[in-house]
Amino acid sequence: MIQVENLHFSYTKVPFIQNMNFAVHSGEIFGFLGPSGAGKSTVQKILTGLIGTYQGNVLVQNREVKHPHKDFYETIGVDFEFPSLYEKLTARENLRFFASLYKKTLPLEPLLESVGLASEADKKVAEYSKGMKSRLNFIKSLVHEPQLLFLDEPTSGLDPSNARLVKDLILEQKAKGRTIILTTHNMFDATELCDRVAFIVDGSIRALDSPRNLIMKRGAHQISYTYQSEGLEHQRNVGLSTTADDMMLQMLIKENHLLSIHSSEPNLNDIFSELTGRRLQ
Amino acid sequence: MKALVQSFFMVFRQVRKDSMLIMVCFASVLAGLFFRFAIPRLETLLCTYFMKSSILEPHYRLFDLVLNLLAPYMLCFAASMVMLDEYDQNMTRYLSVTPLKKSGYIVSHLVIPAVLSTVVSMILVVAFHLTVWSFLDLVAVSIVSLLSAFSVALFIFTFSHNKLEGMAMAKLSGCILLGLPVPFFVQAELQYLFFAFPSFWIAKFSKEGHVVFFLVAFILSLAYIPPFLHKVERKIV
Repeated sequence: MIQVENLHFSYTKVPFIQNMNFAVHSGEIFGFLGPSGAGKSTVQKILTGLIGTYQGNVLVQNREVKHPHKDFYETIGVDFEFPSLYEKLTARENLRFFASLYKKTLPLEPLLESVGLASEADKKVAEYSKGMKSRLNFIKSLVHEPQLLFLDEPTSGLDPSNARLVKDLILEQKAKGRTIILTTHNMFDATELCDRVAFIVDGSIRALDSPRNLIMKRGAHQISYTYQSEGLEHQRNVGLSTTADDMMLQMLIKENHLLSIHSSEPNLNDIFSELTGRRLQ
Repeated sequence: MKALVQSFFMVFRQVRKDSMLIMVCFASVLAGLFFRFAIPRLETLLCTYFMKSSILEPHYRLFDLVLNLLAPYMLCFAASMVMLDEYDQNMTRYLSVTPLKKSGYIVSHLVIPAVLSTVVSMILVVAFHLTVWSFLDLVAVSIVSLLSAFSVALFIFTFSHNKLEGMAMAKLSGCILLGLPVPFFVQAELQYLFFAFPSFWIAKFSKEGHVVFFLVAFILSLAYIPPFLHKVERKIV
C-alpha cells in the first residue's frame, strides 16, 4: 500500500527527515510514535501529497505522491489533529459540503449515529464541545469510504468513553480491510490499535516492529509480590530470570502466604525511552 | 469540476453570512452610483461657485479608472477574508487533501472570484461611466485591474494570520490605487517615481492611449503574482 525509500526532506537547509525507509501493508494499522516535532506530521504531509519537494521514493497505492492526481484524494481520508470544520454551519451542513467534493459518498445519517451526533446534527459547530468537534472531524474523513486513512491523534481531547468509541470505529475500519496510518504520541492507543509501530525521533525511524514484539524482545522485567509479616504488608521485587534464587519467594509459595504476585512488562513508553533517550508523553 | 463549483459556492455562502463582507461586495456599486450621479452635480455646483467652465471634468477618466479597479479590489479582498477565516479554522489544509487539491482551492477561492469581479467591474463602468470608453480599452484596463487585485488578495492572505490582521493588510494594500492619479496630477519625469505601481501604468495607458503602457502594466501586474502564489501554496501546507 505504501512504500517509502530513502526519504529525505527539510523545511530549511538543516536536514530534517533523513534516509527514512518503511513499507505499510494493505489492511494494517501502522503507527507513527514520537514526541512533538519529531517529524510524524511532516511524514504524513508527504504521504498525503501536501509536500512534494522531498527526495527519495514515496509510493502510495503504487503511485509517486509528488504531484498526486485528484483521483488519489478520492481514495484517502485524512483526520488532522485539530478539527477543520465550518463553525457557522451545522454538523449536517458540514458533512454535506465535504461529501459534495467526492464522486461517491456514504449516507450521512448512519455516520452521525456512529459517533452519537445524530441528535445534535442540526446544531452549529460553533456550539459543539471539543469532543463533539473531534468526533465530527473523524467521521468527516470517512464520508467517501476511503481505502487509506491517515489519522492524526484521533483520540486527542476525547473523554475515555468517546475515545473508546473512536477506537472501536478505527478497528471497524480495519475489519473492513482499510489501511490506517495512525500518528500519535499516546502509547496506549498505539499498543491497542497498531499492528506495527515506527518510533520517530529527530526525523528518523529508530525502531519498527509490532508493539508485542517490541515488548517481548525486552521481556518481562520483574515479578512483584506482597506478603504479610508481623501484622504488616510487605512488597518485594525479583528479576524474572532469578526467581529460583529468591528464598523468600520459595518459602511464601510453600507456606501459601503470598498475598499477591504479578509480572510487570515494559510498556511502549519504556521501550521508546530506552531506545531514544526521550519520553513520549 | 464538481469540487471546484462546490468550493466556490462555499465562498459565496460564507460571504453571505458576514455582513461586513456583503457591504464590501456592494461598495463598488455604491461608488458607481456616487460617481455617476453625484460627481456631475458637484461639478456644476463648483463651476458655478468658482465661475469656471470645468474643475472636475478633466479628471472624469480618473473616476472611471477608480471604479474599474474598485470592484476587483473589493471582491478579491472579500475572497481573501474568507480564505483567512478558513485558514483560522484549519480548513485550507484540509481542503487541499480532498479532490479539490491546493490548486483547486486557489482557483475556487481566488481565480473564479477575481474573474467574476472583472465582469462586474466592466458592467459597472458601462453603467456608471463619466467618459467614453472603447470596448478594447475597457477590456485591456479590466484585465490589468484583475491581475492587480489578484496580487493584492494573495498579498493579504500571505502576510496575515487572521481576518483582523487581514483588514490591516488591506489598508496597506490600498496603496495599489496610489498610482492612478499620478498621470493626471504629477508633472512629466516625476511621474516615473511611481513606476512600480501597475495602477500608474493603467492610468497612463488610459489617459495617453499608448499600447506600450498597457504592456508594462500587464507585465508588472503579472510579475507580482508568482512570488505571492508560491508563499500562499506554502502557507496552505
